[in-house]
Amino acid sequence: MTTDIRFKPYFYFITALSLCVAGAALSFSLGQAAIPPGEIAGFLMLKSQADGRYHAILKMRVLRMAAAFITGAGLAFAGVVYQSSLKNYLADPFMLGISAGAALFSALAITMKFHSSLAISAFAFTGAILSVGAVMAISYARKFSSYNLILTGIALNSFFSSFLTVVMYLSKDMQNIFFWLMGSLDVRYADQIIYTYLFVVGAACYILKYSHILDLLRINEKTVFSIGVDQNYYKIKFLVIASLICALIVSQTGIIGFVGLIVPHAARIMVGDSHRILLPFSFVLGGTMLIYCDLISRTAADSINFPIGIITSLVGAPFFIFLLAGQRKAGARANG
Amino acid sequence: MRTDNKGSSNAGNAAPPAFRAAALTYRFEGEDENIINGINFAIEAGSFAAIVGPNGAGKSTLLDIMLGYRKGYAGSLEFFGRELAKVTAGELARERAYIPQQSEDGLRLSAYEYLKLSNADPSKTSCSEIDELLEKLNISYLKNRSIASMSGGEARLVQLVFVLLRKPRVLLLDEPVSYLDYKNQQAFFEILKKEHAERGITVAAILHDLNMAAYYCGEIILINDGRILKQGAPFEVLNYRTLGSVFFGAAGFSNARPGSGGVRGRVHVICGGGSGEKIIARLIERNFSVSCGVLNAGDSDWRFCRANSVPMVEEEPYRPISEENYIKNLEYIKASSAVVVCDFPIGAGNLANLKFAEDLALPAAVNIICAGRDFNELDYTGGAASAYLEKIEKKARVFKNIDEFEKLIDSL
Repeated sequence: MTTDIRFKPYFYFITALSLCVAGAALSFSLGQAAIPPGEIAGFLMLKSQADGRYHAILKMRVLRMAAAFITGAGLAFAGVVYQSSLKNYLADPFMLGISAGAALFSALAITMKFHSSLAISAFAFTGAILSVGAVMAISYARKFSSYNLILTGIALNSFFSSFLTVVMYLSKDMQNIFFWLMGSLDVRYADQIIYTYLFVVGAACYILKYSHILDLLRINEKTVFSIGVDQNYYKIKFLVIASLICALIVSQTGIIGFVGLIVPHAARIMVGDSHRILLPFSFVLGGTMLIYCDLISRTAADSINFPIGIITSLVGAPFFIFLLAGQRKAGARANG
Repeated sequence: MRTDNKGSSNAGNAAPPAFRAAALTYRFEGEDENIINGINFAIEAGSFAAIVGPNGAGKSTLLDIMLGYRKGYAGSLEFFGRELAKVTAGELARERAYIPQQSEDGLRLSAYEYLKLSNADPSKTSCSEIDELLEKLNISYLKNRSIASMSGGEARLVQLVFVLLRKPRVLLLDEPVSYLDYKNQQAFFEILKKEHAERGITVAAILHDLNMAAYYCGEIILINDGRILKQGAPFEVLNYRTLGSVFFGAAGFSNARPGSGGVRGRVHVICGGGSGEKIIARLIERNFSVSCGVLNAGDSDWRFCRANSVPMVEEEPYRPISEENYIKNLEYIKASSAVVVCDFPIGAGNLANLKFAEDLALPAAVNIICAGRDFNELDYTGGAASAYLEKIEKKARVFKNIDEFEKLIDSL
């Protein structure tokens, strides 16, 4: 059986992009407040609005959609980098302690009565960087290997999680902490979004330049050694950059699970392991997925915003199982 | 070519060997015992060498050291006359290539995408060269297929293209054909042999199949317990003494025990490929004195006989039966009161095992018992074996299975 696998990436790419645009359009028009299409068109064409209220709502929706996209895109992108660098398809961006560190430090910030979201973000970012740094330093001091990294990550994750439980137990702001932990896309400042975009897109472009090295990290270690590539150097470099992306995102949105694990997987099933395609595709797919998840969380029930993290799992899991089932059939055909 | 090391010991020799080890020793960190134990060997440039030995002998470790992957060895290992530890990773990458034991399982890259990676900077991999090599190996149809969807044999050939694209002087292979069926093993080696000849690549491969090693490699290095037992041409290294001591100890075989009572008579068993084990065991249990032959060393029946101290006529591995051994076997047959011919595959190499049907007058005193499997299935000689077997069958008492055989010998 000859399968030409070349045409498929384009098909998936175009589909994902169309879905993304459609999702963005829906994000504008759907929500608890009904806004006349004329106002939306006006807003998009940057015309001054007759009704300031609409303008404010639409601006909020744009920010939220932008936040949703970059969050999903960044986490999915980092997920691919983590999986390939660690040579482990079960790796996700939170595996090396980012989520636990961010959670612990943001809980500390909330407990210490820092109420500005910027302060909490700064704390969370520091925590994320500290914990992922500790994981890397510890495993580097021993014997640097993916296996070691993952084990150290698991150990530190559970250590920080226990610490977090202690903080929550003692804190009077348990509800606030809990809410932060579930993740939220409420972004108040346009600047924040712009800087996030600049950093994430920049970092992603930089890694994309080395997509062939990520391809190499996926193949036999000794083969890669034999062609003279220093794997550990790139591994560390990629993990550091991916961790920065994640830490930045997590510090602003809280912990949104599942995207960084499932989207890379789904993307691999669809377009294959070539990172030149896989990385940008995961970026788009992750962003698209989060736009839709956000849409659901905003519109599913009147006057309640479901935490986005719950929606990602609720929507993502069945979709992923559907993909896996399809893949097994295809695999059986290929072998038969 | 690079300039040679001034300190090289082979001053008069124009071409230093690809590898030369002197008292090469290696030990895993934190372990007490050496995995490689002060070995000396040389692999000449342009040779095709196999490294053979049982599991745990240190073959893969040795290859890893030769690859430069395992550092910190003691003693000396020269790579084209220069100490390997002093050759930079970049230089090594230009000189030698490697095929690992594992294939790239489940890799969802197309062959083309994968082959592009053969250069650390994929833009330097020439597309036309990829096409040429795929064409040459007759696997152009794999170009756009994903590695994950390929068969083991196809994936291996793609790996071979991968290393050939690197244009190495030395190719190191770690059990390249272990997971392939016989046909694909042959295909792989035929191509490898051809490229070796055309490009003058030095090949060093760990092989488990001694048959393949004997057939394709000009040189065999036999190692056991981190030491080199023998290095040389296949016929020098692979004989029943070395194979017996290294590969086939008596362990692992259930020994057949004789029953009570006196010896009942001599039976000679002609078998091979495991066809004789049960029969010999039954005969021993019933107090027959059993002999066996002619068996190639390494054959599973040969191992069984060795383990049970059954006297036999032995032939060197993978070699046709010699005149001398044939005559020895006839002596055994003549001295026996019965001959059992088992259902074993017969090719040109072991056809002489049946020739007794022609050369002996088959006196009535000799009972010949044949397994009644369809001999046409076992005949790989184009009829010669069947002719002998027909002759034998006329005078024989035929059994179909081991139970019938037991009844037969009980009636003897």
